[in-house]
Amino acid sequence: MIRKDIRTIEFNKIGLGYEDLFFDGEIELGSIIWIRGDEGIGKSSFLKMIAGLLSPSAGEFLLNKSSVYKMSFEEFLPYRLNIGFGFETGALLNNKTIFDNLLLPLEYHSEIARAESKARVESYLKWFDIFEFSKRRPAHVSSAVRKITGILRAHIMHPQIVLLDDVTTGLSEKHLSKLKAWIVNYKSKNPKSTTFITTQDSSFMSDVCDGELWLTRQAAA
Amino acid sequence: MTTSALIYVDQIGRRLLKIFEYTINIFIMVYLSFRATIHDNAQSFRTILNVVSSQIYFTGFQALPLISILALACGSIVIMQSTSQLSLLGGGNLVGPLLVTVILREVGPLMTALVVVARSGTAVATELGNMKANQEISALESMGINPLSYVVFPRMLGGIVSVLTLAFYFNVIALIGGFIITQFTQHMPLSYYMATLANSLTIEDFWIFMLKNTFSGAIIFTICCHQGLQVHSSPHEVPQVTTKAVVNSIIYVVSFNMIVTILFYLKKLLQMGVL
Repeated sequence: MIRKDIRTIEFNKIGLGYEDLFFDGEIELGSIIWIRGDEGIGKSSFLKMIAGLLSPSAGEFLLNKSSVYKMSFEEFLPYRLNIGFGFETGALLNNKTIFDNLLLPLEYHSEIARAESKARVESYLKWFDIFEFSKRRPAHVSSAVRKITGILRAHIMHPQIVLLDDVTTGLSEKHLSKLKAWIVNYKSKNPKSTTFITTQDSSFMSDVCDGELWLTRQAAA
Repeated sequence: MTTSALIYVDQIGRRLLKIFEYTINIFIMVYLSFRATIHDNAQSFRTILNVVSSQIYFTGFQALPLISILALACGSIVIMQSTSQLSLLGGGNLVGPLLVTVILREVGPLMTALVVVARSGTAVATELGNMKANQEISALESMGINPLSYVVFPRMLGGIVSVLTLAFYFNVIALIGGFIITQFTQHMPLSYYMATLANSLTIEDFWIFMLKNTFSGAIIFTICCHQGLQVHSSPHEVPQVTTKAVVNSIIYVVSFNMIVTILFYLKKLLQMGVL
């Protein structure tokens, strides 16, 4: 499967089903964007909508001027391969080890050789000092390791768009500083990449974010 | 017609419409799973084979002890009862046709299906329900892996193969093992027993065996996958969908078996000129 470059992301009067929350406008790509808003306003839903996991209750979400919700799974797949999602809880497959969880998308889509895939997974785990847990299943590691693995899985295919949901909760100071360096490093190595992050940790975001996107009850700022 | 009678008719109508809608949803899921598998260029044959083989191991291989006990019990009871009762009536040569009718056509497919529902149907519904609640299904989608081709289709395929082989195993154990057990209570020469069985088997028995067991496997695993995927986000929904999966699987499998049996005997009656 050949990936499609994502050149534009547009929201055409998007409603997320949360009373009067609407968002309208185009997002500038190539930056690290902090999605902000009150608790329960729909920040996670906003990220899921970009990943194609959730349909908006109103309006249209456009990638390269094409409406995502008119696309079938197969039509959206070339874009999807360029989008990585880090879930709040990690959402790892419980019947696979930490290593195999990271290996799965690489092996499934066979974009690179098996040896290269394994080397990439190994280097990612070593970068966060969690390689010792690689042979364990998600139920046998801490929530922090699960969360980091989920974040690494979002980056493993080197996507153009990275969506990280509630990225800082439950991580130690050591892991937070490593994560900060990881996000900045990924951006510098992939200048065309865009990372959307939701978190309540302003000290963490002040060091990494290029811009903010506020979700409000009336309209986005 | 009184108002209360109309309300009663209305309730029956609603219930029938719900059953019809549910059945259509099951067919749609089968179609979408096949479609997703055909269109999924990324999924290798090896990936499907891995899931299918583990499904066969859990559903087929691990069920062998339970199936053996049930087959021996059913086989010996039916053989004992039929030989003793038919001998009294002077119909000893009808033992073969009776065993083929009862074990091969009816009890075998039904008992196998019930064991598979109880052991594996519940496991599949729970597994998929938990995957949905833990956002594993969404995670697969986000990685560009279609859950219908990666999770559902291999389970359906593995389920069909398992039910077919388990039913075959059930029949062999019931007819051979059952015969050995009956030797403790009554004597019947093995050669006579095998000959009467062989003479009773027809090509129609093969088609009934294939039809009932293939569709039982498909019905059980499609319904259980469908119910598992009905979980929205909370783990408390998992036991609810599992119970529904078991109940619906049994209802649909029993109904399907009954329909096949009725159609078979209608055809027989037509051939005999009774209808």
